[in-house]
Amino acid sequence: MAINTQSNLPAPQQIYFDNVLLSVEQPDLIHKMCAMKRTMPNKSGNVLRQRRPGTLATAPIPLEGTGTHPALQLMSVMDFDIRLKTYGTGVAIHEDVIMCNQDSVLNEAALSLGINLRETEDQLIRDTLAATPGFINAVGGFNGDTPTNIARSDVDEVVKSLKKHSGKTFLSGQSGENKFGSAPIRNAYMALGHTDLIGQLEEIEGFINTWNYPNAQDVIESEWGSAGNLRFFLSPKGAKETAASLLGADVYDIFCVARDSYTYVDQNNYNSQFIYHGPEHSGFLNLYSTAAWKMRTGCGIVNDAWLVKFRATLG
Amino acid sequence: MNNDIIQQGYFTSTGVNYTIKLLSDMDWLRIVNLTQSAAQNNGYGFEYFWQRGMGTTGIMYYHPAGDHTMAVNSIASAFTAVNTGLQTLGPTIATTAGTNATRPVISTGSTAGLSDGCIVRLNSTAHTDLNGLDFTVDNVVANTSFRLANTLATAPGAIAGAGTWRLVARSIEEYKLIKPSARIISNITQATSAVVTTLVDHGLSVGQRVKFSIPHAVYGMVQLDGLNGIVTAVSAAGVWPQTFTVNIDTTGFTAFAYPTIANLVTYGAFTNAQVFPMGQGTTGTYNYTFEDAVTNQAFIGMILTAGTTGPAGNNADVIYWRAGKSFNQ
Repeated sequence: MAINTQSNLPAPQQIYFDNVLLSVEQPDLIHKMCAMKRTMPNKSGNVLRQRRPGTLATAPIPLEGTGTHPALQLMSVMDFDIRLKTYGTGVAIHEDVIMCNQDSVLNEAALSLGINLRETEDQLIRDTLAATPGFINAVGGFNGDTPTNIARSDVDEVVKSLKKHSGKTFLSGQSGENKFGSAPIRNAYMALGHTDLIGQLEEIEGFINTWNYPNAQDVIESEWGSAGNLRFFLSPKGAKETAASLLGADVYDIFCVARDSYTYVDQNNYNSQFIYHGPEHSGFLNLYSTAAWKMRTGCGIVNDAWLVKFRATLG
Repeated sequence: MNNDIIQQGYFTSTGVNYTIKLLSDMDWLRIVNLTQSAAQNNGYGFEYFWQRGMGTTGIMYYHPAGDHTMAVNSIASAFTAVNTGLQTLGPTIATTAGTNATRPVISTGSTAGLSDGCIVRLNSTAHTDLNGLDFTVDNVVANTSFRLANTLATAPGAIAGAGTWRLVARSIEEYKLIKPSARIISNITQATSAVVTTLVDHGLSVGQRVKFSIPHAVYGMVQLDGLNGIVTAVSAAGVWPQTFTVNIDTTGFTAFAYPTIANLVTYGAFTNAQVFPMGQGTTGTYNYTFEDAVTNQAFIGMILTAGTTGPAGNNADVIYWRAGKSFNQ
């Protein structure tokens, strides 16, 4: 008895295209979250100027019986200028693609461009934090390198440096709760680092992982845990210097920041523009369309004493 | 977008490699050396063409005799496309020795990609006080050696044997996205206006304000830690060691020392002495701005090689260029 199978009746359309796009790698972007965020209005130039008043000398001399006024003081200020620049990129899509492809290419382009925009923004902030301030090497670790892997004494040194200059912590502490395995969390500065540090952080004396926080509901995806007065936020886009240690290992830059240490600024309506030009813009034959993003942004450190680039290797 | 000319311009050659900075990518570049087009110099190139896909090779039109006749040839290593936003380390290349000097000479069998002003990173050498750090180099002798361009206050203390070097950047223009940026200090003089040397060329200019961090006693001049001052002079470009002068009196300070190999054995790991930019000094005593320290100076562009058969020409040649963009097939 004959039976018809796929071998003699192959399906003319052998592939069913699932039009639900697969998830795209979207790294945690951590470098913007600690910035002071400002928006400049249009038609106001391209530089944001921020001013910090200086301190005045204290006046410990008693005035009783003198009848005279003390000397008046001159005020001082420091201005910090952040220049905005425009960034952007895009894709061109030929009409053949639109005509032939079953998938929604423009949707894919929009997704890719959106991720690309935010990664670019994160990179610009990260590189600003990496380039300008001074650094502290980890020196208390055991790996014999320079810098060493992170020890608790290094964490304390960073915190001491920030605290010495009256840097304010970002996060208030969490009181201890009667939950198994949890521990109270101190008020903390933010430490922004690379995901390669996973495993290293757990080696720090007193490290508390996020799942051991008294209240894990306050934890965002990128947070990994805390040690001393630092809470660590990790990203695969964290700063890393290739072969930059004494022994040739990669060095990880962990940005430990207090409040108001750096500013991120955009200009009105220009922080994330998605720009689509249909094929009618491509010429008399309407051959291709374009999709692009554009932003106008700037970043700058406004108090170098409140930001420490903490360098460490892996143990 | 098809065959668009995105930028054009001209420059007068100084006889050294020239970088055309575009803020957009390019697919082709045409160079016309106006001076050599008019001249009748035998063997001199007067027009060059590069297109994406050619790598560093270009097409050169030149005078094959001492007249206005024309010939054509391909010319290697004439164009180097650069995108300072996408810098990666060069390949690992072996070194064979390093001298015990304040400007150590590093011997290597390959100086591929190196020229004066390049920045390299040393690894695995017996000069443990230099390993993992970035240095500007000069005195590049092809496939023989290069020298650390900026003077160390103290020689390493021993001759180095085998190790490796990697190219970090071809110049400080390509070194960091944000400029100027922090530097590790190699020397500071004791003077009424201190003269400062850094491992990588400082890239500062007169009027900028810098802050010092001397975090360890091994560096000697700990009195400078935390002080800031204004740059009052910088050494001439292209001449090493590169230094800058700052309006801080260091005559009463302890002498600066660069850590030696022996110091590393004694002290183990420590944080390097650094200087970092704080902004632009202004006329007021207290006011300064930070603008120069946060400016993204990254660029996409093309480095033109100088010389008789190079698109950057010889000294005083007037050179015109056009860059364009087109779809690729």
